[in-house]
Amino acid sequence: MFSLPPVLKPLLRKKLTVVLLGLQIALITMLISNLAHILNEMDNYYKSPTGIDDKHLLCFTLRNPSGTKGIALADGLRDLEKIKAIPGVVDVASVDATPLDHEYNLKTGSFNTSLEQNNEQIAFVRSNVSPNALDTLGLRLLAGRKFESSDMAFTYKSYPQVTIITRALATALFGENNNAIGKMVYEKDKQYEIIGVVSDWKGFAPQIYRFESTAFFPEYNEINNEFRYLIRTHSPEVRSVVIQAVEQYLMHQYPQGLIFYADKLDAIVNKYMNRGTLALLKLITLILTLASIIAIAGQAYFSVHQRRKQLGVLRALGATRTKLIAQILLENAAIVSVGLSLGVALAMLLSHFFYKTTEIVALSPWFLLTTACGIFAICLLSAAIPALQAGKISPSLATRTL
Amino acid sequence: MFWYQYQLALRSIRKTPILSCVMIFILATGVAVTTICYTHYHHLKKNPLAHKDEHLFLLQTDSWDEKTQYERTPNHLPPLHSYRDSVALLASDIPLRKTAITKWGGSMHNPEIQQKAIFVRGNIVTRDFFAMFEREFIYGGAWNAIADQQFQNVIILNEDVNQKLFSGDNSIGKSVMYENIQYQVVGVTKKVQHSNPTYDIAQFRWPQPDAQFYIPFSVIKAAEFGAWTRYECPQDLRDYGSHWYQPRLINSCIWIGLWYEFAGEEQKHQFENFVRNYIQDQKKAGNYPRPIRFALSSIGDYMQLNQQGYDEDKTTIYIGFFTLLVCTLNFVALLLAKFMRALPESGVRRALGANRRVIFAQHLIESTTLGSIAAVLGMLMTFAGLLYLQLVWKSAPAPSSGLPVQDNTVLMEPDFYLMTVCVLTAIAASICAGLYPAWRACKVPAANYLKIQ
Repeated sequence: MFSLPPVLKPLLRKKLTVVLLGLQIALITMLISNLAHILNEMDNYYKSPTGIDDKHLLCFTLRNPSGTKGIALADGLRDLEKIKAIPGVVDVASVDATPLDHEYNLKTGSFNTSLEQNNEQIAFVRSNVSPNALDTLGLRLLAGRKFESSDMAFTYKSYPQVTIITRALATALFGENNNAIGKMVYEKDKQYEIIGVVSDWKGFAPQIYRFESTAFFPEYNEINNEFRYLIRTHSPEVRSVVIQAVEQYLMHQYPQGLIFYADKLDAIVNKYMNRGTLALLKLITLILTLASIIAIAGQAYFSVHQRRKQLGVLRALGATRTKLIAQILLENAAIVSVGLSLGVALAMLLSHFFYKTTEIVALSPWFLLTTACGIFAICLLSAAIPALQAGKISPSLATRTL
Repeated sequence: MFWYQYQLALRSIRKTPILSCVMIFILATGVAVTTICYTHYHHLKKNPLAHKDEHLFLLQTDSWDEKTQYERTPNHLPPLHSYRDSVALLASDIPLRKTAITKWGGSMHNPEIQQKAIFVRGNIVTRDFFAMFEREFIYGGAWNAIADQQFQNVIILNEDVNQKLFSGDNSIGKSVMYENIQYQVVGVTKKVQHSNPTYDIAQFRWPQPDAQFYIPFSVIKAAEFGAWTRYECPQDLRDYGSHWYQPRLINSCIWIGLWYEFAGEEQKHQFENFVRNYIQDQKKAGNYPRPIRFALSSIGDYMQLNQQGYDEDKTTIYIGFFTLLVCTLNFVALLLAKFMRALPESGVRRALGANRRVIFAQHLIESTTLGSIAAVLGMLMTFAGLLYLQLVWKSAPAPSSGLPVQDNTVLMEPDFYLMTVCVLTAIAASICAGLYPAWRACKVPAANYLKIQ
């Protein structure tokens, strides 16, 4: 019923308008698909599970009270016992950094799989923990054994002989299917035996697009500038009550000049969220989408409006209303398709550029297709309104001179 | 003549109100997004101490180990020094002013009132620091020169901390407990929030929170403290003992920044000789194993050096540029539609004797007028956008530790320069966009339109 030539011919006559509209659609596709993709990736990352039981966890940090040398290990361990007795508390462990909080206190290191230093060094984040910390965190033991009290080492006196690493680190060190248990890893002049591999988590310093490998060491420090209590509770709701009870206990135990602060671990996600970037991207995407809808719609409207007389002639020559509308829509679809194909190619290119420079995963074809379909729909819709109006043009209009 | 053209342009704009509004909105959007995307880059590249660039210098020396070169700065010189070198390099009398900078954090409270201590981070500096980096005092002033040599328990607080501990009153002469030592307050500084990290320029490119307190450099020997800064060690096989702190005072690990202010070139040359001699001297003791290399860079020099680093922040500028391109293309298309519709009028004007140049000018003036209105709207949109971004940034939850965080709102501050950029971009875009449609309009064959009439 519709043949393409009558659609394409008028397009060829007004090349510039077509090129302009096509280019615009191409650029808009490129920009919006990439922006939406980055937003989506960030959003997914913030919403993805942390890998630990954050809903049940609390982390208390105690800074050394003024006037003392620091928090003695014996005091810290006594506190662990006392806090465990508080109703609602399931388990308490000591860790040397707040999980998921990148603010500070991060220690890093790098392992070698052999004593020769020429090998590739595998970087990781290190954490000294008490034996029960991994259970308290909610990390699953995938292979090997847990820490035992006899594994504990004391800073400046002895160093730990064993370590438990996350699966990501084990894979980085020994490859996908190799068993890491029992293997030795070397860090400068020290060597450790891997006794366990635990499930992956977002780590002590979650950062979008950067995977964190963690190595846990069974180590205590006898005098601590800071002591951290990781508390696991029965239920998420009981945490506020537990915070009060622990605060009261600490207040009583260490009188004046003391600092401590509590974090509900699932609330920390809010802190590492990169709000500035998110807001900027959202703002740009929103404005851009709005502006492009208005622009495309406006252009389609005016291009049809301009040709009212021509359309009137067509009507006078016997074109039905449906045929007229169909032709305008088809014409629009032809321009949009060309623009979209160029846009998809450009979007892939930009995505590749982002991937190279910022490690943002490449745009998936499905995502691109959805955006393209969306833009296609918007374009057709915006052409449909003037098309419907054009259908109403009376043939008598064509017979007039003006 | 211009006035007449301008009136014609206004009339034409008024004739198609919806089309004109759409065009203005589109261009304003493009300009606003571009300006917003450019803002943080503009602020990062600002140097608040540019007027001191001739006098104020950061010293870097190549104290790294023999085998590897230092990789984390653009000029491959470590940004910091060991305590051993710092003391020796500070001892020179040649410079007008000199300061060491390292960071420390801990608990602080006012011993006179019962309250939970606050968690603060600050700088360890010499008294010259305040003059060198133009820190203003609300109360008191810098400590005396003796405190830099012989440790005295003196401290300078920042406005915020003074507010928290002394409710903003004049606290000179009062004492505070910091960690386990009592200090006497000798000054309270005004809070500054630069978008440029100034004295941290070799370590950071983004703004850093203002230090909350300052303690004399001599404290390093008097008290044992774990510095809150980058602490890196070159490969050094000598044994410095196993104490947690004492080795830091004699080993080659770097953790102290050094800045110097010179009265003129002469002084700078003398000091360069001094540094060269010092490194030469140290080689006898087995330090400085690499070839003699050092640099005195002003903040401006260092920014130039780190140009590549700033270029990494340009991604948003590209996004902004593409947005502007899309919007300008759109503006062109709509302008073309608008001018084509008004062709009969131009035809009549041509027939009545207006030459092509006049018709061209008339259309260009029309597009520039639209551009100017878009510039004003774009400026308002930029203001609103930046304000929104600042609000979002401020709404981020503070860390539970109470420590100040990097304040990026300074990077989203609208200023005169940005607004000028915004307006000029809009007008330039509208002129560029108007060129082709105006050319098309002025080429109208007058006879064609007269015939139909």
